[in-house]
Amino acid sequence: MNNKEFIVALAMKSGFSQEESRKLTVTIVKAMAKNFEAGDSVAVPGFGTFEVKKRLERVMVNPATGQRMLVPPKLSLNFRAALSLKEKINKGGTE
Amino acid sequence: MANELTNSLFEALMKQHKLPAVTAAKFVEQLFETIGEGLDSDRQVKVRGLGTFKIQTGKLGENISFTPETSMKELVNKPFSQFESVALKDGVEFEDEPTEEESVPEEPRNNEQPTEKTPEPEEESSVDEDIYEYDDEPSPLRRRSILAAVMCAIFVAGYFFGGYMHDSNSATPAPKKKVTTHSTKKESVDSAKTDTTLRKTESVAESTDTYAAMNADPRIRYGAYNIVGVERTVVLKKGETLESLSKHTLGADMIGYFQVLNNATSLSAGDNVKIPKVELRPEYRNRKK
Repeated sequence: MNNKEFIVALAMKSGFSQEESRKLTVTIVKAMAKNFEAGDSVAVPGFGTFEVKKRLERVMVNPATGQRMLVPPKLSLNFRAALSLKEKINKGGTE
Repeated sequence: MANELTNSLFEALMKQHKLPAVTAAKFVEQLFETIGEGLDSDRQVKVRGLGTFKIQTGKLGENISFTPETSMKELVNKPFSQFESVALKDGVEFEDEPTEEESVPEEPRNNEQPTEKTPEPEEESSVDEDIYEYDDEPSPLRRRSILAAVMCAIFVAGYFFGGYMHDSNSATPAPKKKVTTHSTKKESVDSAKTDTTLRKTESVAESTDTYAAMNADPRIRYGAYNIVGVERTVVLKKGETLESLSKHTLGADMIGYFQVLNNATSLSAGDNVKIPKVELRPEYRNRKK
């Protein structure tokens, strides 16, 4: 499902127009981004939690050249699905 | 049950789109429901500006993965954006730790990490220095402005105190002088490289050097001592200030006597500074103990 299809589905569910649904989504995503920028996590009940996690520096080896590199620390955005969501998708999966 | 953080999401909707609270909260719920349903039907959902959710089959069942969009990745990593990967020179040993993940601390402690991890300092000194090509301009600058602000506050407090000691007639000179000091102080702190220059309040109005005139100086007039002579003269070393000198001889709060005797408030390394000889004023002799 690409973004367009997602918006269509959301519009149908919410009753808003596609254009309006798109705009509202942008607002929500921006609000989430604001939290992430501050390092705060965003928890959505029934869906999951988005967390900002720090990855320490690591030594990596370039497989092609064998060159060892030091990768600096970074902050990454992680997502942990809520159990109810996991159950939902597992029910719909093939046996 | 909406928690604090999803509240900020629906609040944004209310604010930006003038939606009533119920509608806004419902829409947030519907958005994520849609993602869930999309995952169920298509195994993958992409949300522009945020990222892509995917169902991945694992040993224990199906997992949901999330990959943030590039713009989002960069936004999240902004505090560490100046870092780049660097090639390790031969012979450099690092403890190859598995990637640890921890929740975001208040501030990234980039300075400490490289040095902590090198077990063989002799060989790795070059690595430590040029390992990260980053700008450390922000921290010294911030430190300097904090130092400037603190020193300004101290001086302002000192002047107010001096002004308070005056009777109403001579009250005006003190506050006026304060303003000029403020600006000169800020400049000097910002440009100073060493701690030797310490500029305080405005210059003394006195031109005479007699002790009687000195002891009537506003700064020490209400003190417990009179200046009666020069104890000795020292040459100021680098790193020394009127403050440090005063602290080591008569006492930190006696700095006013130093200023008045030397008729100066700013110093440089190499200056001659007279250390005042003081005696307890008559009116304090019985009271002081």
